[in-house]
Amino acid sequence: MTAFYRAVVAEWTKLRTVRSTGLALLAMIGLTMLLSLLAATLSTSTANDARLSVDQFHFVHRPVTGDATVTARVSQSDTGEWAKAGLMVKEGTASGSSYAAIMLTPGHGVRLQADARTEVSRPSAAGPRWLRLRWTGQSVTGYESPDGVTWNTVGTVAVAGRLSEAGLFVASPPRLHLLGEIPRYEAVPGSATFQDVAPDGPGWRDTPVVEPPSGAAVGEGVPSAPPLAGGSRWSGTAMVTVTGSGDIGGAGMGGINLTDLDRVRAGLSGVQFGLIGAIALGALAVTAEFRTGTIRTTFAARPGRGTVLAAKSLVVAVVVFVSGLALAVAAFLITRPLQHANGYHAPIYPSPALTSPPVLRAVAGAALFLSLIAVFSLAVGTIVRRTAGAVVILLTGLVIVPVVAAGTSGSAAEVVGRFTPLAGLSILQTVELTPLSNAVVTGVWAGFAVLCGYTAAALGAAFWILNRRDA
Amino acid sequence: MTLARAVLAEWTKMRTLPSNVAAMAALTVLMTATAAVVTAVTDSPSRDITVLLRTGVHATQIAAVALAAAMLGAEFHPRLIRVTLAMQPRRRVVLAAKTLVLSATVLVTTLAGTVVTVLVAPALLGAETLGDPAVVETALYLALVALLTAGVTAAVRHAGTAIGLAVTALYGPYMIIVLVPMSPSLSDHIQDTAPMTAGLSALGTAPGGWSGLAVLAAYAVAALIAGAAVFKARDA
Repeated sequence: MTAFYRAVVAEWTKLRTVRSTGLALLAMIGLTMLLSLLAATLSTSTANDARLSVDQFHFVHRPVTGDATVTARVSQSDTGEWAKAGLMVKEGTASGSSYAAIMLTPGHGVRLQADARTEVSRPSAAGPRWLRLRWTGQSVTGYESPDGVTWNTVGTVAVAGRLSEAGLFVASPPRLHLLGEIPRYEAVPGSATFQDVAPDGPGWRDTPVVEPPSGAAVGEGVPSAPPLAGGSRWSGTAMVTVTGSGDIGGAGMGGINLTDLDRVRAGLSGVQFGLIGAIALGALAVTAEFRTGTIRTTFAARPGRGTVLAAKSLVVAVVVFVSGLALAVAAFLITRPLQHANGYHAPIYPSPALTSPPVLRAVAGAALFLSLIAVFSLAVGTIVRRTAGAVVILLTGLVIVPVVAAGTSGSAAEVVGRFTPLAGLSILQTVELTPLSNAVVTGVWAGFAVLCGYTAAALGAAFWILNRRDA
Repeated sequence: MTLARAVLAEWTKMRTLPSNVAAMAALTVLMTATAAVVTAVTDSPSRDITVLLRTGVHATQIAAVALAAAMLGAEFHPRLIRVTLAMQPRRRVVLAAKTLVLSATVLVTTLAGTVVTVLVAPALLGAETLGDPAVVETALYLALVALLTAGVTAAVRHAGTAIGLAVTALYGPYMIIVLVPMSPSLSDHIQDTAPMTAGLSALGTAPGGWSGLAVLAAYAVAALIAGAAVFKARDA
């Protein structure tokens, strides 16, 4: 134990007395802060001022007067867990007008919505269901049934507008599409068959309800895409197949999430740039010894090569973790007021305290991420032994490939986000990701485990090679 | 005549170092290899050959950066530079010879690699290959990247540091554009003034591409001037 302790002290002395250590740490802090501050000052949000809702779908409807009921047996094709098909009563057919709707979703049961503000849900088995909507004045009640005989009440909601059109609707939310230089949302066609539609008979009309283009870029506000042409095909007077795309609901309901909700992660995003400093520190800690030949003195003083590698790794890990922790806390505290001033504030964007568990995990995680990247770089440096070679390999794998992938292709970015050491960035998440809002979905610990795996494997290989080779 | 001898000496040093030969081979092969890999693994590859070349450039320019840094950095690490300067005391001639050999090597090897890629592209992409490949611009771009790195290496005198700085200068602004949500006008402004993104714009089919190469050339010249100043002022 004392041997290891002495080795650690020796490595710490070496690390703190070379100039490159300070420069690498400075680069890590400077580059992280640069990117985080740019992100905090350049991105703005008007989400708190704008009404955050989507109202875009295909509507098969007929005029109604007074209190009435609509019923149908709905079987929906599964085009995504949040695809929506059901019955609606609406104030006209313009996008954004008042509505109440009961709908089936393939992944989230039966849901009753009103005016993109209220939502009631009831879990249900997958497959066709009977739905019914009954309204009295501006109070609307939704029912669902497995067989059309026994009916369960889903809930009662109030709408603001005067209800004048009732009927069937189909919506299917867009998918984020990253192929090509500019990310965009791509419409997904949904479809559903309605049987035993009541009231039946002639008088049904088709209207594609389309949102006016918002002009907002991807990443701002609620996801939406230009709709596909929907339609309806009747078989007899009471059965119709409806196709349509789009989504209905407001932010936080019906599976609609803001794309830029995780402000803690955005504030810490600079570590993806700052890791260049961690790479330099880790690689140089060992390659500099090989270059100058100091490694022979080191091994003469301490022939246990595993001990030397462990001591070096520990010292590098602790140094990067401690400075990374200070850096992450500072980045969080500095970017938060900037984000707040740019429109990222409650109620849409909650700003959790530094001491809340997800934030603590993200802040400590940013330091751990940098620390593991530095140890990984140290291991690669031990294997390669040449500074230039190690730096080329590490920068290619950890900087160039990820950034080129993120800038060109969504599928490549997904592979990088899941299977390379950069998967460890998942530990910065404080908001659960949804497939709709983010291309890369990795569990917080799953992604971090990938980075730990790479580091352990690289250290193992470094230990094996260090023992076999002549110094 | 002195320059010719210095060039010959630099060429001999360059071709006899195994790591440089490896980097030169990489400059020739990487473009085609990346194109083949990208078309093989992407499910719906773009039919545009300019997109394919651009992906290959990302791989190839690392080899160009590594070659430039190794060529100049190798002089300083075992202090070979003292012998070099004893033979040819005029430092500007030494640096000129080095940059000439470097740019000629990178131009020739990457031109060969790009031509091969363009020739095999129809086999990779299928019959309806689109786009007008910018072969000369691609080779010039890579030569300028090598010169930029050469200037940085002469200034910092250490290959590893120079590679780190060159990669940060090339990819840092690009990373900011990709990772930071910003207005399109600001993003365009950064793209037009940063060395890599401006230079890469010459590889597309958009008009005015040569001005992008001019931006990259300005960075390369600035780096070389800084490198020459340090090289002349400092003790070897």
